[in-house]
Amino acid sequence: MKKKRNKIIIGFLSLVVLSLFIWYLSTLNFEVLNPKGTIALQESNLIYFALLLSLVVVVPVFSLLIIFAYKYRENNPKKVDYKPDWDKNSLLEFSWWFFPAVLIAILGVVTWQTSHSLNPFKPINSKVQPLRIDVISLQWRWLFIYPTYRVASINYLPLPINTPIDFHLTSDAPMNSFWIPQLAGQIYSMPGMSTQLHIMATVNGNYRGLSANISGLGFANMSFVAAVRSNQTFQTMMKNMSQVRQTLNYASFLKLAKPSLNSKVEYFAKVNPAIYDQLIMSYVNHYQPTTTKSTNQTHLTKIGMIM
Amino acid sequence: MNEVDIKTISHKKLLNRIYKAEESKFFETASFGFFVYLMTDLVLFASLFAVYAVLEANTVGGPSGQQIFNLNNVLLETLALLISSFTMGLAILSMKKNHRNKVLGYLVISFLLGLVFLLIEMTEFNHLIAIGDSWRRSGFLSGFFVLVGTHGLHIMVGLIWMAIMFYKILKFGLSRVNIRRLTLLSMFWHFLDIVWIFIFTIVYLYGALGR
Amino acid sequence: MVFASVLLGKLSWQVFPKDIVTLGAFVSIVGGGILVAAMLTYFKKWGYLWRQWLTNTDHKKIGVMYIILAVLMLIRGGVDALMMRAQQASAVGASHGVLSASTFQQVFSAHGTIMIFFAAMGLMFGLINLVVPLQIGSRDVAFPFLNLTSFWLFAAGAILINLSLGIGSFSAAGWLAYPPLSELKYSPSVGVDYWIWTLEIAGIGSLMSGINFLTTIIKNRAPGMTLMKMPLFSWSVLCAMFLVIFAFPILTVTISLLFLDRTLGSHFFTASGGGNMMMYVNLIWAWGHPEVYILILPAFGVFSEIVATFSRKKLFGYRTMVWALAAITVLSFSVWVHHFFTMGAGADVNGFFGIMTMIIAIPTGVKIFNWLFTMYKGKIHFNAALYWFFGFVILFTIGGVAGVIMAIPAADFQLHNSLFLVAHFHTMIVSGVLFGYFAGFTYWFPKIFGYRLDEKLGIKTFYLWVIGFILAFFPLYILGFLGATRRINHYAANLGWQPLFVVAGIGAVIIAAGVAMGVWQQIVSYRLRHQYRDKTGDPWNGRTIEWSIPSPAPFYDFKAVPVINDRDAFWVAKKNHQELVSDDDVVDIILPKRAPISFVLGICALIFGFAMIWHIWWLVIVSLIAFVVSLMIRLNDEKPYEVVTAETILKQEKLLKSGHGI
Repeated sequence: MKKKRNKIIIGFLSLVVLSLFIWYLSTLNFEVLNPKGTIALQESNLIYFALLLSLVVVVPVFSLLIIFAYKYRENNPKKVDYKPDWDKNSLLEFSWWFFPAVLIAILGVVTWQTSHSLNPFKPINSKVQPLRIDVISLQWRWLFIYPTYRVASINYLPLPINTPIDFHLTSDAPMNSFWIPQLAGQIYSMPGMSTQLHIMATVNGNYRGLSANISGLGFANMSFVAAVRSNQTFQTMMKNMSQVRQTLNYASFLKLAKPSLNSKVEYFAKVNPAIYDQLIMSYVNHYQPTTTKSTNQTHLTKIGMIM
Repeated sequence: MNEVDIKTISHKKLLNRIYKAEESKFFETASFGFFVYLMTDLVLFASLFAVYAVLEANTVGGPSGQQIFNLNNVLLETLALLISSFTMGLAILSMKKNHRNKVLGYLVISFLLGLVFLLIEMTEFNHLIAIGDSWRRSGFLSGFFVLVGTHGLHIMVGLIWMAIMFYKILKFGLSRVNIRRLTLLSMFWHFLDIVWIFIFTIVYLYGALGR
Repeated sequence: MVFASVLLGKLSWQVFPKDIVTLGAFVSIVGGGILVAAMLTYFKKWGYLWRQWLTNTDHKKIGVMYIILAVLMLIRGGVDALMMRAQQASAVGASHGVLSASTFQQVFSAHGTIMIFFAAMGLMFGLINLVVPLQIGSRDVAFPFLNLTSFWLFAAGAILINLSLGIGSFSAAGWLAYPPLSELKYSPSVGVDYWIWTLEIAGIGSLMSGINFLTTIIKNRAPGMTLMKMPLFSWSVLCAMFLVIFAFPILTVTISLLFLDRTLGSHFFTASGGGNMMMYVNLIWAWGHPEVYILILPAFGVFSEIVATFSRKKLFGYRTMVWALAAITVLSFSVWVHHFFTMGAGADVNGFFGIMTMIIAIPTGVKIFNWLFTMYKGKIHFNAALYWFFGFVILFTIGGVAGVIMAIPAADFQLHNSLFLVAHFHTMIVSGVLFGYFAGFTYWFPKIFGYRLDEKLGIKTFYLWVIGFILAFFPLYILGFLGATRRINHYAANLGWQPLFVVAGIGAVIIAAGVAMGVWQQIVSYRLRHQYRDKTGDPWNGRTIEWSIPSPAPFYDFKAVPVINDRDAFWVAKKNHQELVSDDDVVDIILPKRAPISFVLGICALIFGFAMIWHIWWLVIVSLIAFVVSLMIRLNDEKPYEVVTAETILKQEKLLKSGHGI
């Protein structure tokens, strides 16, 4: 009797813990699965798809394991078959080469297609003119340059809604990974290199952005806010930014790029948009200021070249 | 664990008898093992070749291969190493005929030719460093120095090994152990020759011709 | 001053740690060492230790030394893990947690390095050493001296990485030290140098072991044992060693180039000067991906033996198992880019490597189905070893699903570098690699020590590990979907992540309890060793020839090497009531001598590494010369063998049968 009561109490308690846990999870923002942009949406659908397809294999494996372990246990009171020398069956063996291969073939097609359609270098189809933003990871903060508006900001990234954004990324720090989970998957930013990421936000709001790759002491606090706003609000923001006192040219950029744990938001007006290219060139030409054109080309051509 | 005292009899005669019976197996195992080692070395060189290929264009304002390679020297190096490999082969042939003195003679020739190779290479390196084109200069030069230098380092090890083999054979003659080790040495030496052919073609010839 | 810098390189009084955590760790390690040394002196065991263990070329002793060292390193890496969990559970919002950012970064870098290179690799080489020669009927490995030297290089690496606690600091650049973070510009301290030389020395040891075991398996099998009659554990080791010899040279090259960049100013991976950091990432993963298969394949082999033995049935689909192993071996070299889809290699490259990655799931799945159908129509005996197998199938499949999802480049963009990834690879390595080696250790333990391990405590250990694992890592899967990245020493309070990190911390503590339970199991089993004695040499009703010899296995392994006619030679012999070998087959044999030089070579390598790290150039040269001279001395002994007569063997066999030796 006592044992039974204990069981009921334990069962009840675990139910309470479980429901508390589920309630807790419901308060969280599952950023990866809660997309607010076209790219992130497709990527989260892809995750769901792969997960469901994998279950086709998981379910048989788990059930066979449990059934076999239960049925063929040594001390099973029921008499079951025992065939110590049964060790091959071509049909069975063929089936578990073949059916997983079919699944992988399906997944393979999806993989091939999505790695092209969701290629971060690929521009997004839209009637709206894309907006270029240059992203530079510093030690340990993010600099965003809006060449069209000649403004820049630190750790704050205003974005117009429903507009394709064309990020160009480089680094004046160790490798970082630029990631706004609710808008799109990440891409590395590397010194002396230029990578690209195309995204389009579809819902207004403030989204968390961060660096996903260890880049030194202050890396954990390299977060920023991606502020998606209506086009009108965005234009106002740009205008306000263009009126701040702080300006940015290559010389002041070099000062700004010094390592700092200060992650405060800052704005710059009258920004020289050539900073981005100049920075990359400074790595390429590090040894000697004069250089042949072909060398520059080698570095700037898409970085997949070394593969 | 097994704490029973291990009492072994070290009768030299008995040891020699059993050892002799197992000798051919040891020889086979050793050559196979050494061959596997050479394969790992091959992977090592392959990685360095890959690194060189990636960095070859990254001269960042420094010289390219075309500007610094002296094909005459390289040709000399190649000849020295090829002949050295050949005389090493002759040493092995003489070993099989049990001509101790011939083996020693061919070893000396192989050693000297290897030394010539190494000296030319060191002169080339010295010259490059002196004019400021060291491995610090560019990615290309880093790749060049390390690929060619690693091969040079192997040659140096080979030369030391050869010198020791010379002494051993001089002192103990063509004993079974010496035969085994000389065979491995010749494998090593031929292997370095093959690697050099690749360096010669990929680094120097292509480099000097500017592709 | 000049004199001091020549004499001491970069060493000075400044190098001793200032923070209490690191210092405490170092002091406790040194204290533990002194305690052990004192006990050895008190019990007058130095001579025994030196002759029977440290210089003994017997593969079984080397295997045991590997496992002891690996477990010590597992504990060291585990303490690192506990500190990381403590930091992440506490460092939220205004609190900065228990560790400073720089200590935290050193801790996770050390954790990864230690767990892969010393815990997992150590357990693997330990088990291989114990089992492979016994299983293929070879009296020892092909090159016993090389084998012991490999162990001492491994040990030198282990000591070196722990030295970084007390002298200087360790790398803070992650376990694979991507440049340019690991370049001199961003990591000026000796931390990365410690990392480089630890891996360089231990890596060369592993490479030599790879050559050794490949040769052993190819050349030293018992007569009649064709490759297709070889037990699957040995097959899996053969494949793993094949990977070792093709992958480890790449590691050696890569970190050597990083060393040249840092020390001699070359431009391989620097951001400027014509270096290419993406080349490093490619190279390190061209080694790194095969490396995880090096670890997992022998674990697969262990499971193949265990499932067949405890199901009392032939292994199902032996041929397909071998082909699956071969397929995984080959494919593992064609998937490395999936570790960095986010580097921007382009759609074609990413797509290709994504598909190749998924293809590996097919042979892996085949193996799992073959194991399941080995149980089908068997008589399953639920041994503790088999529990590990059940845990493995469940968790490994879950981890595999996570892996297949991340193999899709576009999905990986959202999961890369997140805690989802961390959870994934821990699932693969803990439930695959560690569980496999624990199972193997439980299974072969009686053969080496002569008594079985306590069954109940073994099962308790298993449950602690599995429950701890689920609590520690399933929250990380969730955190990955929440957008939490790895290696963060701090996060904002409003994200609401803290409860999950706390649960993960509790899980880590339970795993620690599992480790403690495992140690307790050893102690209890040792005390009850007479009760648990394996009198027959065949405690599990085994199938392969290692069970045909007495337990503990005598130093000469086989009184006479049997002729093999069947895959399950011993099983068949038992069925036909035959003996594999008789006393009449026993002859005089030779066995390798002890090799004190191996130990000396290890010491030389340790000093060499230390001198390289601290730029003490004269010591570099001295240790190198010492190394070469020691090697010469060893090679001068042209017949490093001693005789064991047939008489001795027969006497020893009798002793073992009457219960000596435990």
